[in-house]
Amino acid sequence: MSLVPKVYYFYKLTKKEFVKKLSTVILLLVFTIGSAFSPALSNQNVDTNAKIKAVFIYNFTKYIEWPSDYQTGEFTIGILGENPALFKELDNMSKVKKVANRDFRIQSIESVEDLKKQHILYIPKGNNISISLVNSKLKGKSTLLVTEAPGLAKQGAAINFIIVGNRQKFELNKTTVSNHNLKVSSTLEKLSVLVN
Amino acid sequence: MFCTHSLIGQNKLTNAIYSLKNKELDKAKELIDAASVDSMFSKRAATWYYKGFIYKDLFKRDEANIKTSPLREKAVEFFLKSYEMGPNSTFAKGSSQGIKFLAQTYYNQSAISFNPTDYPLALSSYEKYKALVSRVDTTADFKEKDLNFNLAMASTYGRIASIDSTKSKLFLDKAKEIYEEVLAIDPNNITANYNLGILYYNEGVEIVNTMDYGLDLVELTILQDQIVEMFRTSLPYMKRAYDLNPTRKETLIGLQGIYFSLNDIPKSEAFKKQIDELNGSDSTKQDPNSTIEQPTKE
Repeated sequence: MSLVPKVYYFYKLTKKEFVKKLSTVILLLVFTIGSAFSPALSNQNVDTNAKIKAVFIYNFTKYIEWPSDYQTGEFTIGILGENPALFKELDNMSKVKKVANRDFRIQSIESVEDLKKQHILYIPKGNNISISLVNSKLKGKSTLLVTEAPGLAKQGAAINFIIVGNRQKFELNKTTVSNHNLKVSSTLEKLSVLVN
Repeated sequence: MFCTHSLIGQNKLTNAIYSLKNKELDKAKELIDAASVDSMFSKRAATWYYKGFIYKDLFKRDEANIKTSPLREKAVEFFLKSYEMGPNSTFAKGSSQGIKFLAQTYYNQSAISFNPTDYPLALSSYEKYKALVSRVDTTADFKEKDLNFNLAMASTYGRIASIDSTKSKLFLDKAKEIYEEVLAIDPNNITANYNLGILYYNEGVEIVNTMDYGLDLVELTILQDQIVEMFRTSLPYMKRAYDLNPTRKETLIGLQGIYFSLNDIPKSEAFKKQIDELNGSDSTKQDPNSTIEQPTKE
């Protein structure tokens, strides 16, 4: 049988061929594995805190009663100072929600002098605005003053957002609320941190 | 009579080899198919080695782009048969190389199939690759390849979840499970740590994004607990990724976002400062909300 020597000769050729082909494949392999990784997921520029505050504020409209002269026309929420993320969330909310069939109107207010008959006035933190000055401007009005910095409920804000265990909660100053002729439901009171 | 039969049989094999050498693959196939059912050659490792070789070349010529190529399956079968007929024979090494070559094609097929449509093929091809290599190399170590494969598969599951909301939870859970497995083997794997951090973070953000403005306060309290839990779970993974590479921008952005969402603004701003420093600009004087769309003033 003369097959074996021939086979061996041919085998040597194929071995070389294999080596050549295998190295080509290995190069391709590195490339394809590299491209197989997709970019990691990301979800940036999302202000989760603003959305949660907007939900709270919408609840305030349900659990607080304004006097009769505030119960017609648009329901206005003013933001005194800068908080673009909250403005955007409230604006989104105003497109899908109403307060007892009344439309929302979200206002950005630049100065205390521009305060009018808002239902809710929100003062974002870091805006160096005197609460006593704001309250003097709101005297005789049924505007719910909402803030978000430590100690402001005791200084005269009706509702003040605080952080407890990484969560947003709110303080309630019942005296300030009643001084502005507003009525708070017991449900809201139970879920609040009372400051007086 | 025996001599004549033997010569005819021998001609089938030698002619098949000759045709293969001359790149006449169709003719080679016809001859080797005939030889392999001839009792004189069907028990020889050489026959099955050449049959595997011819089918392997036919696969490369005709079915290289066919994901479930029957020719490749056959080539593997014939090489394995040759290899197992005599692991120490002259043809064992060639058969082993043939098997490894075809295994690599399965591996490559797996690597290019990491997409929402073909991912089952990525899985089956990789399993096929491992099974074949293990047959001819009992010392083969797949640890690093398994790691890369798992990361790619988890990433693919993440992509499926992002484009198909009906399967989102199912595939996010699968992705998380895989990343956990990777971290059990390699706790310092930066990709797994970062991606797992992002998955938990995104899950928290998704709860916020889908939250209805009319949500009752009691429900809001329950949801806030879930959201905070997601962000808290995300944090150690992202911090680990940061420890492993403190200058990786994506990780800094991740930590900035997680701390912000946890209402830990000082820490969020500290990471923002690091990002600004990496960007080569001091934006501490800029509006901290400058990346968020500005409102329309009345």
